[in-house]
Amino acid sequence: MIAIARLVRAPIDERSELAALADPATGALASFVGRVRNEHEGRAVAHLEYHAHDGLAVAQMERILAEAGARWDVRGALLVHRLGRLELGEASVLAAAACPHRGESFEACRYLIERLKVDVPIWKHEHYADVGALPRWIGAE
Amino acid sequence: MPFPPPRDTLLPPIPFTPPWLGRGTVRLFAILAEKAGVDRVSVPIPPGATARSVLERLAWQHPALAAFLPSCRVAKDDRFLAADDPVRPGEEVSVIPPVSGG
Repeated sequence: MIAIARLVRAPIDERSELAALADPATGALASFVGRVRNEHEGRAVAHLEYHAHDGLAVAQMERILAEAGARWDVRGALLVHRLGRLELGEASVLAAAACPHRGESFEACRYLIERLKVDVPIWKHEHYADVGALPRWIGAE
Repeated sequence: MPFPPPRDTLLPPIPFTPPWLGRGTVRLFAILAEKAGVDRVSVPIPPGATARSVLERLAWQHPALAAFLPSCRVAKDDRFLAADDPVRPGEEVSVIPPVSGG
């Protein structure tokens, strides 16, 4: 199984990332792209910054990819997360799973992104459009 | 105070741990680094310390962090620790607040 876990500081190139999962045995490739939304809890978002514990984040992503490989017939999977400043609409995360059949690729892809959102140490620092509104760390209230 | 005094050792109440018993480094992230104003602090790590007791000591030493620590996890060597896992003098651990990637 190909497993790719990466943190990047430049825009995510979905095409070239997914090309790494090319395999004629996989009839299905499911992917998910998370993008920066323009509002959160009713507040207009100006931009985001993502910060991470790099070493632990990559290690956790590798564990999650291995878990997906143990649960489904995943031949190739990836988790790529961008760090630093992101503008509205830019891709923050790419998850993908390539499997022989579509059912398992959808399930595995869903699993990758759901697990990332819980167990990978990456934090969103949200900056708002309102002048005077302080940026806020999401996740910790 | 959300934490009772640390009970990790044979020692009298914290934060008065004698320095010769050892210290360690705690890395702080996101909201914790913001509240502490630094991303790395030194805390006493006496013999018998655990992931839980490190959080307790951190709360005593940095009251501004106390409210956030009950929801945090501790990691060492790129792995999350369980509450009772040992932390030894001289080691570095990371305190991980609830995450919000994706």
